[in-house]
Amino acid sequence: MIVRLAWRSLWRYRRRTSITVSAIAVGTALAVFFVTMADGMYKKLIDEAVRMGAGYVTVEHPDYSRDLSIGLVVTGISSVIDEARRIPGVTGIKVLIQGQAVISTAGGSAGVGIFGIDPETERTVSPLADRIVDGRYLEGADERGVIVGASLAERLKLRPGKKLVLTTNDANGELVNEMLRVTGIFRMGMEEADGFLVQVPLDTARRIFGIGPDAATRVGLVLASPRDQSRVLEDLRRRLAGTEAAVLPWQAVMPDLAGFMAVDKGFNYVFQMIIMVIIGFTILNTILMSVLERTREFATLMAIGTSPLRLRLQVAVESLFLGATGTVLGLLLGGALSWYFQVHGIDFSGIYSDDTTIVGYAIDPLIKNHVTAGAFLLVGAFVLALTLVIGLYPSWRAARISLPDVLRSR
Amino acid sequence: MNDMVKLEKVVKVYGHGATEVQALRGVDLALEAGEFTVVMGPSGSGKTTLLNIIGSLDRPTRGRVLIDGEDTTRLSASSLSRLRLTRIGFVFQAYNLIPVLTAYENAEYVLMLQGRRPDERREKIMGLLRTVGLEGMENRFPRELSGGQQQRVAIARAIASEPELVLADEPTANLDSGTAASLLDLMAQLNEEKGATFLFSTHDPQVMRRARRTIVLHDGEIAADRHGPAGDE
Ligand SMILES: Nc1ncnc2c1ncn2[C@@H]1O[C@H](COP(=O)(O)OP(=O)(O)O)[C@@H](O)[C@H]1O
Ligand SMILES: [Mg+2]
Repeated sequence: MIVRLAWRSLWRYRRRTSITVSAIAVGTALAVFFVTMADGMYKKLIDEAVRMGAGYVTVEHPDYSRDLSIGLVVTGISSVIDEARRIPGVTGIKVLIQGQAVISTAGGSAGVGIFGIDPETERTVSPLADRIVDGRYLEGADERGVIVGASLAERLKLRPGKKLVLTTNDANGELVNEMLRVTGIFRMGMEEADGFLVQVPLDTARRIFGIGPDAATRVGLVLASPRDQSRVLEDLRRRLAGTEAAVLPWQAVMPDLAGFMAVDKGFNYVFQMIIMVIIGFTILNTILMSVLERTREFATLMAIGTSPLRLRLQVAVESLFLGATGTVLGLLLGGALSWYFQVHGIDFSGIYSDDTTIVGYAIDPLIKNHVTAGAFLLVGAFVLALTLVIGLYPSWRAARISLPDVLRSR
Repeated sequence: MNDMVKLEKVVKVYGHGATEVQALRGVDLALEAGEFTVVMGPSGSGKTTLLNIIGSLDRPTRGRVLIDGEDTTRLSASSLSRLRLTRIGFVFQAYNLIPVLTAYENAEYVLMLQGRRPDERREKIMGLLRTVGLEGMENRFPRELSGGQQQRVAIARAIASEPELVLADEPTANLDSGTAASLLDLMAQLNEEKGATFLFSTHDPQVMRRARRTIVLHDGEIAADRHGPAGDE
């Protein structure tokens, strides 16, 4: 009977019901949209950073994270690679030699970070290989080739074909000089890369730093989906147990990016909450109005023996209906919207300038939403709980109507 | 202790200070089970207030109200709703049907709250709606019924659970005299057959003529209380 009364009341006050349901649906849809958009942004940002760097799962010397010394390498990398290849979900394996150096030209000199990479692998996994603005990307045969960032090139007046001298300490602490020739110039849109990073072929890096063929600074695993990260991490740890190698998630390798994500997600949730609170007031208002307009009905129900508790339940069930209908519609709407933008992307290039960066990582102005069941569950559960909480006050009010005053009036 | 209703020095004050209204000024009253009593008096004399207080829709400012010996002024809101559900039926001047329920469902509601079985409810309500002359209109909503028909539903609702006490506040005020007469016949019949206690408030001479006891209220005080209908003087 409670259900029947609630259901019929919602149909009787169709206008208000549709206003409330729409408010809930729009709020839910917006929340789903923003959550999936943020998820898409994070996913893309992380994916690019990870692909450029050392993968979702990284193998390195246990002490390397404490002391970024060229001498701290993982050895036996061919067996690491063999093991990693057997793990499902691993789509690329990067072997990296990372070090610091000074490069000098006639135009001046600058401190740089060197990445020794395998050009073929890099071309398939790293976004950097696609961002060559002058010259061409490295090839395996480029024994003395080097790729430099656009702003570094500008400072040192480098162009493809120009020579530079690279000075560094090798793994034994010996000072070494190497003459290299620029093959290409890249622009990632962030100063940390464009002004600091240089890439050389892996074998060139081995020769410069004096690192043997079965050793590297890092082995990085690129995955088909970030969702596989913890599984792959566990699997690889099990496989490499007993060897002297640390297997780390990207969050440990790039703690500043991970920290930013956590903070930004927090802000994002606060923002969601604010939208929800605003929509919550609309819902509160319409439900409360519906209670206040129906005082005669509620007073009558109580006069003929409906208990206050039952009456409250009555109003709460109405709120539940409104909330459930609105939430489902909102999830469908928000899901459709998010899905559309997951496929087509939203171009934010009008809002963000080209070189907007987040702790040094460029963000692409084309953002694609990322729809997950988790986003739906999170938003759905939150909105439903919110409508129920909001429904409490009107339901409490309904049972506090002054019976004689209401029943007396006409 | 066989008073169905007993009021002891009941005072009801509305508002305070300059706007204070004394709606009841110390009313003492006892109704025995099975009475068929009419409260009359000019508008504003306190009739509605008196019925609301007896029916526990309102609390007196001072004094005691006993229903079957139990002091209702001491009961909690949920105990009062239980009391209204099981022992009191109301008929309001403004009908006060639930707009989203059909005639049948309105009358059935109290039985449903009491937890009666569906088949029992059906038999009872169909019979009752036939008695009040609404056969064939069971599935109409209140807005599809005339005033007289709505009040018939309200009466059916009030007596469906066979309460010991039926309180009717100007039940015929919005009805034509023919309809009023047939509803009064119905209530008189229930009073005789089931022994239910009826207390009416009214301006309607037709109702007053039926009274077996007449109470006259004036400015919140009982000005007269006599057996028989009012028209005798
Ligand atoms: N809620 C209220 N606030 C203030 N005064 C009220 C209220 N309800 C009733 N009254 C006053 O109490 C008196 C008795 O009213 P009522 O019981 O409705 O009389 P009747 O039913 O005989 O017309 C009237 O003067 C009325 O104005
Ligand atoms: Mg009145």
